[in-house]
Amino acid sequence: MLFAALLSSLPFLAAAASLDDYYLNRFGAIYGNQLQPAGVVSVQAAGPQERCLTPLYHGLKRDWKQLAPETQKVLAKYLAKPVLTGEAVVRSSAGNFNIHYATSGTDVPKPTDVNGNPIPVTTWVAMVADVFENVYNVEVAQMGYTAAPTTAGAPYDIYLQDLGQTKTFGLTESDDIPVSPGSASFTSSITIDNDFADPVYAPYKSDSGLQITAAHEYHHAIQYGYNFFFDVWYAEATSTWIEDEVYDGVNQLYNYLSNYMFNTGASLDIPTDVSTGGGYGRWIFNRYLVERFNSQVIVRNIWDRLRSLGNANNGNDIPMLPVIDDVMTGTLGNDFFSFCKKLYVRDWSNHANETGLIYPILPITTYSSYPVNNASSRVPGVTLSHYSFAYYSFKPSVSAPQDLVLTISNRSPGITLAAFRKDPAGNVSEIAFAAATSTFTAPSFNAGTTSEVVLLVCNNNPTDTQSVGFSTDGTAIPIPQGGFPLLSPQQPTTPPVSSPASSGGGGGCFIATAAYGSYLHPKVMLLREFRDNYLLTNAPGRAFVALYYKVSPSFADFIARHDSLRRASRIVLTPVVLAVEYKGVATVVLLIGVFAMAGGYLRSRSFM
Amino acid sequence: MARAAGNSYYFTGKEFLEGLSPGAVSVNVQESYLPFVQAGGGNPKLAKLPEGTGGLALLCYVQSAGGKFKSGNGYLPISGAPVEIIGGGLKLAARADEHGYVVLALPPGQYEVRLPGFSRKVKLEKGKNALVAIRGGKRMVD
Repeated sequence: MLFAALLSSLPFLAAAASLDDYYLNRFGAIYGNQLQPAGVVSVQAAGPQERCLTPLYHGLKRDWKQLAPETQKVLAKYLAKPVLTGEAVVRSSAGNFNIHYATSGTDVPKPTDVNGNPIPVTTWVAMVADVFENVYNVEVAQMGYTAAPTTAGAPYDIYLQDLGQTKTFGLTESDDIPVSPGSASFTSSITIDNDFADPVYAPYKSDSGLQITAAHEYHHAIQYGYNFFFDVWYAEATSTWIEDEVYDGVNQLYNYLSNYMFNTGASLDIPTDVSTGGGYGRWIFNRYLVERFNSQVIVRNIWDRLRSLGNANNGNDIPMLPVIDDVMTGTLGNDFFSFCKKLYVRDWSNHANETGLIYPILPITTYSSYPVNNASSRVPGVTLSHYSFAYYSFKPSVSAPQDLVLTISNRSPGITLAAFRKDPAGNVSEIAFAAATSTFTAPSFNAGTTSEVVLLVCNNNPTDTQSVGFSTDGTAIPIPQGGFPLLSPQQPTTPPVSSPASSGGGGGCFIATAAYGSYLHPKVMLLREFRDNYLLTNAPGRAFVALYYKVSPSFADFIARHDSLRRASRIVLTPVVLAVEYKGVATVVLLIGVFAMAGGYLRSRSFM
Repeated sequence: MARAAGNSYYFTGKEFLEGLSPGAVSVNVQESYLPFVQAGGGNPKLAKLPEGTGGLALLCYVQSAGGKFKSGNGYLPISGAPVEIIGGGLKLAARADEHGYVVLALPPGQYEVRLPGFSRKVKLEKGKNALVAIRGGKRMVD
């Protein structure tokens, strides 16, 4: 009766007092006008009118724009929205978005074009609106995702805030209540950097940073709408993947692959962390799925299945791998294995013209001293966690056998293997496994017709601690108690990338990337080939590369900020680039000698 | 989950760990005493749990995940979060402090704690303290 009385009094209250007073009074009545200290030692039963707060919150969101700015500031904490000084709002052309930006204070956009020339704020805000409408058109209208939910069908809110200081492109945060009681679908809001002009975003400044961030964040908003309880790694993998589906050509996503390749022994669903390739680097698995099923729909199907599960895990996030396996009708294991093979074979058909941007697999160990057995310096065996893999490379050498026979021993049930042979022209063929002898055989391995044989060891199972040993002399490799320690790839000696924007990309070519402006510049790619095919094949060269990784990031950051230094760096690098490009053998040999001497000198002086 | 007496715990975004972490807010839990939040300024005077009650230290937080430049994994406290606590014939409303914590003494028993859209069950025992975190949102950074 009290509740009914309260409801019936609401219209009177609304007429007698402003909307601001209504919400301030309601929230104040429940929670007090001052912060209360924690540690209440007595209890009192709450009145029945406070039993359910959901309608109050829905109302606050619905009426938000009608409230005075001062009221919004007081109540903002209940909605977790950014508070922008002198906030202005622009509606996008098709009405799907409200772009909120500051007209004074520190969050005022100071946009520039790609050349650093200022552009009007109104032009920039209009561009932001248009980009989000394009994202909507692709992700919703074309790809068929359900649009991110909003309260009462209002336009989706995008906030422009200075995030450069926090080194964030953007963020998407759920609202604190579901679209309906008990639903797993949540509304959300997006905050992106106000202008992407901060040097920290280089080389993805201005419109390119805006584009990939809009595509990325809006899919997070879609994800909240499908099911709040998504597994974070797959959410990041999907949002990263979709950047290239909406804005093909910006290609920042390729930067995240190097750290995945450096950590292939970590499971597919490791916690999201750009330094390990967790989440972000896993976008390539979505590309594999699209290619495997010949349609982007497979990714949407996975999210549809997640939506159908609701809050199936009692308020915890729902592990994604079983969901993916379910959508793939139980073939996740086989497909993960195929995915691992494709990473080496590189016969991509989806975005085929960008195959060169996909970071190559990094062998855990490259063997060139034979026989390979338990006495080898890096023991030929591996223990893998679920859905992870490792590659091993075998190079011809004076000690190599004429025919390479890889004998597999002590294989756990969850381990699957494949072997490939690559000829000097780069052609790859798969080597058949002889089950009777548990061997892979590469005939004429040392006859000059093989550049390498690689062994893929894959745990394509949900079970951890799966092991296997291998040798080239037929001996069995015992599995140690607790399994083999997981080693990092032998080359390169340091993780390829720690910060995508400041270095311009991955792969370790920090100075070159700063000089040429992009990790993806063809000259930079040539220099990476020189590193991989010449410097990393000998100890002094490797020493030089290690020193380069150690000192170059700070130099690169300085170079990137100064046009004159970028030009000077390109001049210095030109002889190397030309030598590599035109395969001047004598020049390359001379350069190897120079780098090798430098590496040897530095090692002798104990700089490394 | 009831905790042993006299220790500090901090939240990582996924779980409470024993000890102190630089810059992190922690909560001190001591059997028979009301838990208190430690936020870098002196410790308040200990207050005994009222006779026949158990203590609840409830952290309301938004999970933070992702980050293209660096890991943004962790949590954000929901300052002022509105909490409902239901059980044992009681229906309470409380508000989290600036660090996202609600600290209460309650009769032992099973309770359900609710943030708008979220809930979890808590068991309180006489003379002991329960350290609980309830997620009230998710922030994807980048």
